[in-house]
Amino acid sequence: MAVMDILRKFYQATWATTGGRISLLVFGFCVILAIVGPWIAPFDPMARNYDAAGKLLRLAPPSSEHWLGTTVFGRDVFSQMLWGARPAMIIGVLTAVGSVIIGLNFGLIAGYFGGRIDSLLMRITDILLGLPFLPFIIVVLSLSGRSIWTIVLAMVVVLWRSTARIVRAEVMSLRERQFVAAARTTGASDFDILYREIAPNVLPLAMTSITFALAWAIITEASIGFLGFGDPDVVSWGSIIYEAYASQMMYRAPWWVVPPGVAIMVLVTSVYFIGRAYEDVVNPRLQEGR
Amino acid sequence: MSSFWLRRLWHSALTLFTMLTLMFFMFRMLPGDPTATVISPALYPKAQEALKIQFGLDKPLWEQYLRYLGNLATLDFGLSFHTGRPVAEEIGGRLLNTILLVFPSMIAAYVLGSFVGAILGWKRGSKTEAILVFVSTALQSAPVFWLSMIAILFFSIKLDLFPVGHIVTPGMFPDEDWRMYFSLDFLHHLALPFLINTIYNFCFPFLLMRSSILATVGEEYIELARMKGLTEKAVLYRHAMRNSLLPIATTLPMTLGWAVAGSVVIETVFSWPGLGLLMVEAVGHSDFPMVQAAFLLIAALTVAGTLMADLLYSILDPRIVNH
Amino acid sequence: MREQQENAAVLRVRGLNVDYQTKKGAAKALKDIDFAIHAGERVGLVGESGCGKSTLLKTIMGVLPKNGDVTSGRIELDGVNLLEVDDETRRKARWAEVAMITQSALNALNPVRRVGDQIIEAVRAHRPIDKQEANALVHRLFEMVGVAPERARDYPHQFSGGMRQRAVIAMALALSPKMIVADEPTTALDVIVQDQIFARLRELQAENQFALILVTHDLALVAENCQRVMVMYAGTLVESGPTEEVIAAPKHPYTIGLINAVSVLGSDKQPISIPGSPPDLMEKIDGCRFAQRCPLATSICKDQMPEAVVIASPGGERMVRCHHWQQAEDFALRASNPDVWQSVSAV
Repeated sequence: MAVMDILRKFYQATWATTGGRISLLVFGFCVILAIVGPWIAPFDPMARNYDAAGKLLRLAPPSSEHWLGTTVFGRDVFSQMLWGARPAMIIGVLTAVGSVIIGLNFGLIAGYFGGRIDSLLMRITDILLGLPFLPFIIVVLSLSGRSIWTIVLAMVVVLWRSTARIVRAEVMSLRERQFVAAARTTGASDFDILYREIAPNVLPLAMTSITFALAWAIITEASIGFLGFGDPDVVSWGSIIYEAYASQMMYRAPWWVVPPGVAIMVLVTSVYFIGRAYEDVVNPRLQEGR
Repeated sequence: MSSFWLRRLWHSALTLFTMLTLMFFMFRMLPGDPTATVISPALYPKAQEALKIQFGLDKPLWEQYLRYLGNLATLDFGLSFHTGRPVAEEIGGRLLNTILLVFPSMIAAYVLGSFVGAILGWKRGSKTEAILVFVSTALQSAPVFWLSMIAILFFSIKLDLFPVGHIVTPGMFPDEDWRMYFSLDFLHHLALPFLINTIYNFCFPFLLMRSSILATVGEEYIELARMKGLTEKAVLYRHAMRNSLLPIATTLPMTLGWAVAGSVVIETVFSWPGLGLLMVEAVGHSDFPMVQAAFLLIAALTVAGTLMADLLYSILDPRIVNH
Repeated sequence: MREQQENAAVLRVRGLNVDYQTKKGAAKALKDIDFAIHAGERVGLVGESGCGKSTLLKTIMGVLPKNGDVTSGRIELDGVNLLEVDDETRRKARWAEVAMITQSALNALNPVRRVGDQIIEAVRAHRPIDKQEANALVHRLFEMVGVAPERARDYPHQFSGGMRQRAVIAMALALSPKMIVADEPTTALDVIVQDQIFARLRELQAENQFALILVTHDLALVAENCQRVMVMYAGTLVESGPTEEVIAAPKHPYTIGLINAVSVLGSDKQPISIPGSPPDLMEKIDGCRFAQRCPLATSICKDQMPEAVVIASPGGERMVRCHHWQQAEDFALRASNPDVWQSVSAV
């Protein structure tokens, strides 16, 4: 199937370079963390920990028991870190996949049919272009409840437009190619041409936008958490930073504030490099330059 | 003015109009009652009514919409639900603060990114290039609020070089009027967030310039320029970079609007009294006339930015003929 | 006579070898190139595409791509070896001494800068020139090549193909160089414009007395425009001499094949092309590079690179690099029979 084929090629292309390989390994590690993190966490991330004397362990520095120390409420930072991978990954992947699927379809339809449908869809993307991204998501969250599903939905609403525009431009050039004309003469329906002939050719492009949407979504999720609009029942890397910030104690406890930021940075960097390694293969113009 | 630009202007106006209409309904359609916090259900019904009339919420939706359009035409954004003062008054100074923070740092990031990207792309394959690609990507991948916090931790708290936040030292300018913008104290407060925003936004123009320089290296006009006996510098600046400037110069105005929207987090960390911080506060207070006005301003900025990008493109690329 | 020629050489290339470094190894793009160009002379450099013509030009102009290596040899301009001088001297020699008319004028002109500015820029790289003088110069140059001077403020896309080519010629003339290299200058143009441009180029050459190297795959163009011809095959010069003599009595089997491949209008002679393709330059070739396709080839051709043989002739001097050049006359008679060529590929 076309999708599996693209995924296999995606993997092969990114695995071929050193940077791509390291990034894939880092990303894979984060995926595993997202799955097993909560099971292997030594403590309940929300539980208050006490020392032997029964005193609350406030801002305890890293020790053999609490590898990354504790928060101002005596919670184990390391366990919170392990729990935090999951929302980042869920939100990131769902948003990326969701926005790319929508953007891909809109782009296909706009580019292929052109005319009124195209100008309508393009007008919509123009409008979304002017919507302030983060503030819009905050407003949606504050009015319709803070859950990770709302976050995903709000981000998808805005993010699909960039994929749609890229795909549309590509489809417009593919539409005039020979193989499309050939399919048309055999009497293939528009649907067939669009999804069997054209779509497989724009999928690689959509794959690059998936990686960039993923990176965006992870950062945005963290920003939302940091602004205090995250899902209150979920521990995420962003919300750890938010708690540290809100407590005003962060500057006294680097072990509390440094790890979540580093984790986000490493994860997102790996996503960017995977995307670029793949882009180099899809768009070889950039690598050679003679 | 050619008909192309007239049509282009008309398009922008239409986009903006659609946006403000959508926003009006968006803020009223979303689940949850944004008036709930202002008009406390605990008030006497009479008092609730009086408040509703004051904010114009007693009228049917379409009448509210028409009034909203009429008010916008006179730059009247209504009254803040939170303070009761006109939104336009509250928002003006805040927008200026954000622009003073965001625009210079974006421009710095683009200028710096272009030059460094051009020089490294031109040399190609240097160690500095590889390191900088990695570092700038990593910096862009870190959440900017976290970068800011680390910077405060290091530069402000450890080294005591910069203040930890605010636009000026509190109490120094009691009225926070125009005079503060011309003080050294303001620049001192601006320095760290400016630096962070510059570093954070460096990656995109840097990589864009680098890759478009890489694409020009094999062009024949570059080879000819070299054969003409131009110095390497002249070939780079007058030919390679001049041509690669197109995509960069045209993205800059478009990003300015987004950068204002993105200032939310950096302003929060630095307690910078700009539009971003205002929006967060306003959302917290369910002060939707305020949020709505902020959204409109940002929308207008991006629409203007897109227009400017097109204009720049037509100036920079003589091949574009607008009919 | 010989002494005199030696002195008058504008450009002398000796024992030039150039490799391209690729991922799979080194490709020997140029092998033992030797020739001289004399002042005011028009020389054609002929060969199939990929034979190393462009590499030779790029080496002379000093713009080899980064993976190109000059492994040995000298390029002497007025007796100074350009491969040994420092970068600044090298830069100053470009265009002022040797200018170039490029293959594709469309891609050679920077699309976002005015044509006139691109010409002045070449001058300014070598000497200061004020605005007025610069404008006057561009005006004169445009008149020389036959383009309305007021078009100097236009951008390249506003020019027709022929005008662009003329502008590029104007650019080459800007510093009155001793030598101009024209690389397939008119391939993109139709025949009428092509003729006009060559007529003007010959006039300009006669007036300004620069040496001209015309690089092309088109033998007919060389016959019309050049006093001497050099034939290149797979990175080596296989034959050179006065154009008329070489065409009338070629000494190298490849030249014979090349002449055979030209169709003559109004003649019932069928053009025949040489079967096969040039050798892969990545492979090590000890012998003659044409041996695989040559009907005259014997075992010595496959093992040993032929030395350049210099033959005195009425028009000056001829050179041929072939073990069997003495059989050429006889072979030329048989060469119009396609079977003679076909038999080789079977060997």
